[in-house]
Amino acid sequence: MSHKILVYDSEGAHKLCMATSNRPSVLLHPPLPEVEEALAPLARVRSEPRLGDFLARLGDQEWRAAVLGLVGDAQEWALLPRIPSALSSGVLVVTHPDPTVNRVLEAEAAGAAALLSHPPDPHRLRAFLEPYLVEEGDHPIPPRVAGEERVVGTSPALTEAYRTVARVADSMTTVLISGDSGTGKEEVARALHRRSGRRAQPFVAVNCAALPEGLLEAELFGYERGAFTGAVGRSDGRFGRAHGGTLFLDEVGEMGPLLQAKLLRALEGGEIERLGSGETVRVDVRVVAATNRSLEERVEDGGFRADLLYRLSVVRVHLPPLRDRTQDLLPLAEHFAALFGERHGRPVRAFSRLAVEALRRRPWPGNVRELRNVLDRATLLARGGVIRSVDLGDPGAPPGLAAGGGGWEDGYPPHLSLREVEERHLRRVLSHTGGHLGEAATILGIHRNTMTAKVREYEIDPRDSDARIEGEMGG
Amino acid sequence: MNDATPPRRSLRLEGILALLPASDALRPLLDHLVETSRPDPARRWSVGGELGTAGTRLVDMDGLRETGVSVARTEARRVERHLQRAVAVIAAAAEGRGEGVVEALLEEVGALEGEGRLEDARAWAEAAVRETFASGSSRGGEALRLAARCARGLGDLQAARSLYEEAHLRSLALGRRVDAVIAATGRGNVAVDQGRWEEAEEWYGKALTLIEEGSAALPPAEARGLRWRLYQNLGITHRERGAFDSAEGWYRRAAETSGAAETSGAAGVEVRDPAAGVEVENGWGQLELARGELRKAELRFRRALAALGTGRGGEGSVAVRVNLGEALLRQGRTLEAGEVGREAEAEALRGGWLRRVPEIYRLLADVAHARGEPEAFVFLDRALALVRERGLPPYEEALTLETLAGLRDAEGEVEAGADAREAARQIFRRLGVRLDPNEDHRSSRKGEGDEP
Repeated sequence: MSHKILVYDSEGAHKLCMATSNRPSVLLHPPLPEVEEALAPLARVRSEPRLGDFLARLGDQEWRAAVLGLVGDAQEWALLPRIPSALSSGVLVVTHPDPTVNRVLEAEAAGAAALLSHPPDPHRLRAFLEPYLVEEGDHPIPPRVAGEERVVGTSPALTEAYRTVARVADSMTTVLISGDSGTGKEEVARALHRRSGRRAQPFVAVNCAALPEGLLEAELFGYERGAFTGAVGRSDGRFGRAHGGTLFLDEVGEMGPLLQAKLLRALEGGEIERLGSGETVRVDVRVVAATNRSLEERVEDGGFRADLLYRLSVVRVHLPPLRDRTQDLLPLAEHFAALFGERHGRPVRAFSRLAVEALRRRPWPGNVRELRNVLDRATLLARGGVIRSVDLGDPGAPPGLAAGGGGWEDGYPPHLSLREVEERHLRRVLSHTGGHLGEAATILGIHRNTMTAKVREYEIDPRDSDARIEGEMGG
Repeated sequence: MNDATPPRRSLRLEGILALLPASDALRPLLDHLVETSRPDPARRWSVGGELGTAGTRLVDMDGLRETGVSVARTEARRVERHLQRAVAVIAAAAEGRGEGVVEALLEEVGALEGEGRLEDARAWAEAAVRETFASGSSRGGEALRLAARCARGLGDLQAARSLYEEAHLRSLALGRRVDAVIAATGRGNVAVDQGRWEEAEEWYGKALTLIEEGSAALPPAEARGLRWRLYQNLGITHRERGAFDSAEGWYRRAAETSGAAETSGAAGVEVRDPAAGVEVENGWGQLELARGELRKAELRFRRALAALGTGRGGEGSVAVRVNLGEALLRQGRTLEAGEVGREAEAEALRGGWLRRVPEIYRLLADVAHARGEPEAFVFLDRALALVRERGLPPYEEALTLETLAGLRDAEGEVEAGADAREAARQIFRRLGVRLDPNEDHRSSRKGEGDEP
């Protein structure tokens, strides 16, 4: 995209250049030579010494960014709400010598992306602005249709999974859904329920890996008051609550042997017994189970009952990992961006090209769940309705770093020294391993002692989370 | 390593706990394993991982033997200090030095409190109280106050009330004005724990009067330290009474007095107490939270964390993170709230502040519930187990049961919810916590309010 630009020349004279250029432009008030110098490689900077002129010009131009220093009295600050909403696709940064909480909020209300201390640190400002200067929104995100329920994705694997769902939904057949963590197994289970004759009855889910065995038994089958320590009341259990509907047993492979036996009896006889009660209760429940590991292998190593596996897996549905169905990635990203944009009241209209590239590059070990989380956060961070690569986050990035791309190929900006890249990468890997040095050393292919030495050299606290930046807006 | 040695797996904490007998003597080792444990990366993206509690964290087997030796050495040093202090008490008594006996006893109270051994600390403080009476020591008020503080920490609020009152009177009788001020502040804090706001304000007022009356005799820095905490505490009571404007006035006074005023940068006011910045921002954040100004609250809590610096922030940072998590949760930012909750959990476990874990798990339960997880209650179940296993203060159990009641209600388990709520109320009544007239919820602000 090209822009009309205002050129700032080094002798202090400004002239309007009506030609088009691919270089983004930044409007700055008051003039700060260090900031101009820092931004020069990325953008054309127009410094405007008079506040009134700055405000007037803000509306004339398609500025990609504007930096407004309000260093005068309270009257000057009071002008903030009058800033024209001309930066719909750009970013406004306000600076002030005393960025108090109230000022941060007032700046935010005026549409500013950040309130920084004045004068701003040129390098920090550049790092903040960089993604806005180099990325535009050129992959539109279709708006969400209210109340729409649809399968997102067109890959053959997903299509096949949902074909199976359609075929068996309206029966009592047990279904076993397999796939890695985060592939969307519960969504498939819900689709089975929605398309069945039980749709008006409850869909009840239980995650077998989340609960210790004793607690899982109580949750599944219910309990009477005082049946065990902590049973402060009576519970019908998930089987009881799912009566007439569907019970989804997620991560069923994590169930212990005693509970497997009890589940098998419930499946075969359609009866359960609450803990602490001698009564049996008949339940009409369709069971759908899911697993993220091979149950056949669990049967082989004696960890899972073969008869229960047979009972649970009359029909099977498999969901491959996201990396193996790349054609679903963008539709899912668009879906989540629209969903969370709506939910957070921050609608987004496009991904930048680099954001799309970043999405495609990531390995997504957490599959759809990870993608969902990334987009949840990105919609909060996005400015001007555009999700940029920086908004997709990088949990290992040091504070203030424009992370996850931002105009560079490998996740690091090109002006960094090797030493800086090493430090950043060490931090990223340590964040990934939760601060575990041994694991980080394995990933990096270095000896643990070398890892320890490097952590010392760069003064990295492996357990530290990212520091917060005072005055900067988080969302 | 011998090639034939099979690779050693990392074990889950809950597995290790199940292997060993429940014994207090093993606590130092288990505490160390908790502090050095880490989340299981294999569970990172599963729902089970999202709902994982401390028990599902992994303990690495590398260097375990050395760990055992190191923990044993640390424990030996602690036991040695403890016994030497007992010897010092006996020796001072044999020499007829009553003040020496009191001094040795109170020093050990401080050390034990620092180690989180509040039961032991309370026993030593009570021994000190007896000795101050017997020897006519001038530190009688101080000994009573420390016993009161231990009782409060243990959740024995009724005992703490009377001990603080006694400490206040005895300090006045002994002419120890600062001790009397601190005891009155502590007594007010217990009233806050019990949701008795007017009573708390009365005690804080007494403390302030004592400071003003004796300001000439108090060193300025000490008077300032006492004042700003009282202003801060008055901010809490006014906030809880819904008097937000006057609460803000108290917070502002606290900020100005401590030197942590927001305008410090511009006005060039000297920041005299770095801890004040954290506490004032945190308190102010809670005021904004109560007002429903969630974004303001969030920024206040973030500033409190920034004031803590980039290093390990101590137990206070756990509390700030929990507050920040709540501010994010109430804005519907469940993902960030969960992350902040996990940071708080990691920090509490690393720092050995297990008493903070129940409040973190209450936050994580609320976050998981808001994200539609039916297993959200697992955090509360683990929190209740922790309270019982570790003998944590009973209000932790009550607050957790209250959260559980809300979750059970939301799941449609109304009967279980009502029972949990009633169990919580019984504990609150036992603690002397004032319940709201409609008894829908209690009025306690557990653990808020601080003494110098």
